[in-house]
Amino acid sequence: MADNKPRRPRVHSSNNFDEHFNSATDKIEGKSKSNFLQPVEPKPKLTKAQRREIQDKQRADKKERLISEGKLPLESKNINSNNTNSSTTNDNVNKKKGSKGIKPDQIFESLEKTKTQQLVAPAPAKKQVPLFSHLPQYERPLSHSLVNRFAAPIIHTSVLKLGLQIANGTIIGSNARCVATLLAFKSVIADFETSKDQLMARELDKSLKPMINFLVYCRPLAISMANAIKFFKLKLNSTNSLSEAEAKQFMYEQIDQFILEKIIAADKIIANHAASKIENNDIIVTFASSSAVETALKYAFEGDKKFRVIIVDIRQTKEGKELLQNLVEFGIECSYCLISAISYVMKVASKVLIGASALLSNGNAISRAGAGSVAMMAHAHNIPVLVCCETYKFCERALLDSICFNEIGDPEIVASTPILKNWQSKDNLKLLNLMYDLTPSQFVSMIVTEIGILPPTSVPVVVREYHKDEM
Amino acid sequence: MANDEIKSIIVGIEQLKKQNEEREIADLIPLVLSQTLNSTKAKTIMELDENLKLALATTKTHFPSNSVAAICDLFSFLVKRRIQNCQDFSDCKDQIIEVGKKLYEISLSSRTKIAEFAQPFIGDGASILVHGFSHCVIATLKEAAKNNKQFNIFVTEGRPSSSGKLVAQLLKNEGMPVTMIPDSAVARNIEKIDMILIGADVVAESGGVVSQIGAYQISITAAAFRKPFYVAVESNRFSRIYPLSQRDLPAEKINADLINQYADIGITVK
Repeated sequence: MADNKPRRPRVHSSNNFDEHFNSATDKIEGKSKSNFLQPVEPKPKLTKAQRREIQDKQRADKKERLISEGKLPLESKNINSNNTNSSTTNDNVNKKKGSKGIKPDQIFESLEKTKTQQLVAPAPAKKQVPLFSHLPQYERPLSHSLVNRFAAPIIHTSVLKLGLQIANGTIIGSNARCVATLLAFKSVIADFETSKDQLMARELDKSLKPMINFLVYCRPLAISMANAIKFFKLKLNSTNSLSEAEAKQFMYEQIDQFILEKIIAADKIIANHAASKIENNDIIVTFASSSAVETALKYAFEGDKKFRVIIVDIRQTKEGKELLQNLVEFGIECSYCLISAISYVMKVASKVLIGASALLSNGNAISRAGAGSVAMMAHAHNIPVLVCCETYKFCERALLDSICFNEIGDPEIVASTPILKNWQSKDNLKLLNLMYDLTPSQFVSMIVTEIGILPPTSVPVVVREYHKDEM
Repeated sequence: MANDEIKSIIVGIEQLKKQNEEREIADLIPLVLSQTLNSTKAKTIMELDENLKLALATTKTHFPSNSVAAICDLFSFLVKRRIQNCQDFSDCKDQIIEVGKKLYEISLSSRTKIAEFAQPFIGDGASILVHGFSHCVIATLKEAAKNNKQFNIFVTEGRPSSSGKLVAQLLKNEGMPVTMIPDSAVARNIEKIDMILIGADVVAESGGVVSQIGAYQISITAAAFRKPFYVAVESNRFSRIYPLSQRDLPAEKINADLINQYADIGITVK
C-alpha cells in the first residue's frame, strides 16, 4: 500500500469529463430553471373516467399515427380489439380471413407478428389489477382462435397439442411441462427437413421461434422450461459440423440424457437425500403437489420409516388431491387440509417438505402460490423447511417479491363460488389469480438437490459452476 | 489390506500423538493414512480405493469424534479427486502422499495464521469469555499477550469434561489474568464480557458450528445481549454434514464420573 512511486495521471482527460458533466447538469438545471422562473399552474383535477377517456383517446391517436407511418400492420389493430370480446373473436377473425381461406401472405404476416409482438393482448383496462398490470394478463386461449391464428404448417402438431394441453391445465407442474416440451421438440426434429445447403441448426432455430411463441401464448413459460429450451438451443448450435441425420441423432440423445439426468435421476437422488432427513414418528407437511417431494416420501416409506404426511392444498386447483391419492395408494398415512388450516397443522408438524418451480440467486424460492405462507408459518413454529428442487431449475435471477415477476392465471378459477358468478359485470370488482409466490431464503432451512444438501446461499455457486458448461 | 497394516495406522497415529502433544489427533490422521496407503501392496486403483475405505472406517471407529470424521471425509474427497486426474498408478501413490502432507501442513500453519487474523478483534482492555479446549483459541490469546494487549479472560468450567481447568492452567502459565466461572453463570456475567471466543470440532455445511457441549447455550445468550461471538477453527475442519437439528449430531460418550455421580440414586444421565 505504501507506494513511493508518483501517482499516475488519469487516462481520460479531465476536460472531457467536465464537458459531459456540465452538459448533463445543464440539462437538469435547464429544466428546473424554467420551472422555477415560471409560476406553476395547478392542473385541473379529472375524475377517473375522464382520465381514462383521455388515455384511450391518446392510445387510439398513437395507433393511427403508427399505422399511417406504416410501422404497425393493419391486421394487428383488428386482432387487439377482437381480444377484448372473446365471444366475437372467432367471428371477426373468420370474417377477416374471408371465404377465400387462409392465404400464404396472411400466414406469413401472422408469422412475422408472432416473432416480434407480444402476443398476449392485455385484458380490458378496467379489469386489470393496477399492481400487476406490468405482467402479461390472462387471456383464455380458445382452441379455434389458436388454430386460426397459428396456422398448422408453422406450428408442429405435437407442439399444438402440447400448447393446448398446457393451456387446458392437463399438464401442470414445472417438471411435467418441461419434459413434455422437450419430447414435443423431439418430434419436431424428427419431422424437420432441412432445405438444401442450409444448416439444420439455423433453420430449425428459426422455425422453432413461432412454436415457442405459441407455447408462451398458451401459458407463459416456467423458468424450468426456459432453462431447458436454452439447453436445447445450445446443443442445437453445436451440431453445425454434423450431417443432418447425425445431428438429429445427437439431439435425440441430448434430450434423452437431459431428461434422464436432470429430472428423473435427479429426483431419485433428491429422494435419497430427503429420505435420510426423515425420521420415525415424523409428521411431514407438504404443500400442493411436487413430483420431487412425492418421490422422496415414497422412498422414505420404502426404507421402513414410520411417518405421516399432511397435505396442505389450495382451493382453486386442488392439485394436492392427486398427491394424496398417489401416497394413499402407496400405503402412506395421509391427512388433507386447505391452506386456511396451516396454523392448526403446524402445531403438530415436525418437518415441511415443499417443491419449487425455480430457485433464485439470492436463495429465494419461487413455487406455487401459498408455499411462501406455509414456509413462513413453519419458521414461526421453528419447524425446518426442506425445499426439494433439481439443479436445472436454478436461475441467475434475483427477485425480492412476488410482484415483479409472476404469472396471472385464469380469474374464473377464483370465481368458482356462486357469489362471484357475475363478477365481470360488477365495475369495482377485479379478480386476481396469481400462480407463483416467493419464499424468502430465511424461511428455507435447506435445499435438497441432486448434488447434495445445500444452504440457500449456495444457489449462485451452483449456477456458476454447473450451468456454465451445460447451459 | 492386511490386518497388521490396519493396526499400523492406529499405532502410527497414537505414536505420533505421543510425540507431538500439541497436535490434535485429527491433524495427524492425513499424514499417517497417506503413508500407510503408500506402503500397501495395492497394484490397481480399485484396490487402492478399497484400502482407503477400510483405512477410513477403521480410523473413524477407533477414534470416534466429529473432527476425525470430518478430516477423514476431507482426505477421502481430495484423494479421490486427485486420483481421477492421474495418468498412471505410481503417480496416484505420489498424489496421495502429497494430499497427506498438504493437509498436515495446513493444520501446522493454521494455528499461527488464525492467531494472526484474530488479533484485530481483541481490543486492548477486553474481557473475553472462553469455552471449551481449543488450540486455536489458546494460540490467539498467547499471540495477543505477546502483542502487549491487556485483557482478562473468563473461562467456563466446561463440565462434564472439565476442559476449563486445562485451559485456565495453560493461560495462567502465560501470565494472563483468568477467572473461572461455572457454565450456568454465563448469563450472570455476560454484561462484563466484551466478546466470546470458542473453537470448533467441525463446521457444518449449513454454516453452523459443532463445538463442546454448552457452546450453543452461550451463543444464544450472547445473541440476546448482542455480544460478538467468534469461532476460531482451521479450514480442514469443514465438513459436508448438514444437521437439520440437534438430533442429527452423533450421540456422544458421557464421562464416566458423571454417570457414577448419579448411579447411587439410580438416575441415568444423557
